[in-house]
Amino acid sequence: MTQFLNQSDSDFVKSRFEEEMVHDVRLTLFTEPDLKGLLVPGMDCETCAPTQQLLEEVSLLSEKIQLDVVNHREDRELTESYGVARVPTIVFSRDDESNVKYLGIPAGTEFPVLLEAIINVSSGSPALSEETISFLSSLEEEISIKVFVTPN
Amino acid sequence: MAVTSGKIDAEVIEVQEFPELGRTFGVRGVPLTVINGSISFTGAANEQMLVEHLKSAVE
Repeated sequence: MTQFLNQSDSDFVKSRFEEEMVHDVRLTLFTEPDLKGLLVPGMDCETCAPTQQLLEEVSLLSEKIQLDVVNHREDRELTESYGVARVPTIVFSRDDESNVKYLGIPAGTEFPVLLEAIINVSSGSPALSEETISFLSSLEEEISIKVFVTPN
Repeated sequence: MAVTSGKIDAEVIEVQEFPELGRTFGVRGVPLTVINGSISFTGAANEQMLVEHLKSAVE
């Protein structure tokens, strides 16, 4: 399989990580095992192996990124504890906080979403106004936000 | 925002890979943002707009 990131992409991403990452980030990829072309009914996750490869490439660009790959069929307890129902799903965690997920492969035009999610989770300080931060800290009930996207 | 508040759970969903989720949430155009499974809007959301929608979700 060819590389997702060419040398200039890798250099750009690496320099952003070096400048903007603060804390360690753990990426947990819930996936199917790579069957190397073998077709098994019900196990037809076309984007699982490419997603794992993309995350392996990205995680090599910073020592602050740890990648854990979980076979959702074998580790049901962990999969359910993260509320993961589909693969591939990437869970972004810092310390014990893990409330950001990406379902699908964050490649092509969605790659910036992966990059910003890693940096924001790591720095813990997205560029939000004081009013927004004040509103968010006043929240008492839980809110779910889902954003549907497609790559171009 | 989910990074700032532990009360917010954020998911980005690549809808071509999960068309059944697209159908469940009535996705006809992207990006579509859905808050608490009910409030939804299409198109790029700026910070202020998203906060207004979050406020109406908790009222």
